Amino acid sequence: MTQDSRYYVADDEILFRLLSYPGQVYNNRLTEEAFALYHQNEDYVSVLRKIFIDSNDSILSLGERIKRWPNKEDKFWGYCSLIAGEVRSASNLLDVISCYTENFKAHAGIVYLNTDYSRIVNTPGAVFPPHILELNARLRHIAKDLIWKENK
Amino acid sequence: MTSNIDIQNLDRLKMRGIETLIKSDDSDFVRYAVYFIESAYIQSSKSKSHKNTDRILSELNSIINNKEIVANSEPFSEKVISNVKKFISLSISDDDLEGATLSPRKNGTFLLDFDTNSFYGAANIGEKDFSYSIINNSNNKSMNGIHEISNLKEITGFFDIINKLKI
Repeated sequence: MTQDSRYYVADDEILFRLLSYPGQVYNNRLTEEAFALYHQNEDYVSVLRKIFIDSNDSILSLGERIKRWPNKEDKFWGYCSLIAGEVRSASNLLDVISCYTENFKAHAGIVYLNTDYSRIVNTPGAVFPPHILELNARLRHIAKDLIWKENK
Repeated sequence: MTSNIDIQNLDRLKMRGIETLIKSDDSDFVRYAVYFIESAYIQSSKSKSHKNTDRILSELNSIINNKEIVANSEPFSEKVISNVKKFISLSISDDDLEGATLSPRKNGTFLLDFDTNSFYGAANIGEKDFSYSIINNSNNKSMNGIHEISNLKEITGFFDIINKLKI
């Protein structure tokens, strides 16, 4: 029996790419397009990272360490396991823990979680919880700044 | 009947006669009557320019008529489309939609993204609810919320937030 191979999301660029575009994700899966960007014939993708962001400056500083950023025309999206309940906007601290979820082994195992750790069910017609919108917006803001700097 | 309609909004409409409606027993009738009158008032009081509203409506039409998007998404229901139109119609002025763009989500809802010099964020408009997160550029603080789309007070409240953040 061959062992499943796993692709670890180990660098900030890919993590941020995945997290920056959650709005298009559906049905607990990375789309084929998204998965194709990151896998190399592995069986599943694993993400386990912590990001602490305490100000816009540190967000940009983190973003600047990412050498390359998607063009506006790039289309991909990720469905990320995000324990986003620790988003503490009051103290300007964004605490994101992304982790692999075994349940979704057949696909990229990345899901959103509510603040009580229950899974966010992406049903037709339902909206994202605000804390996910916030996270998404903050990360896209990094992308925008980097695109602007690259085109300058 | 006890109505949850914002009386101050009604005053703003300067249509005292509507208060009679609030006393009606038909809550749906009152809600829709107020909505239409308020929308008409807000539309008429907007600046002459409707370029941002028109642009977003054009984006909406492009999305729902884009075969590739439609084929890869849950159907965009009439209700959701109507909610998007209702949402943007309640902006206080056309300038509120400056820097906003509309994009589809694969579950048949829409994201209204905002990106201005003073704030950024998004509103997600769905079948029953809308959620939002707006981040103030000057202090990096966010204002988040989720409400029923039928709650007109909260929609106008969202645009009030945007207005307060404008430079």
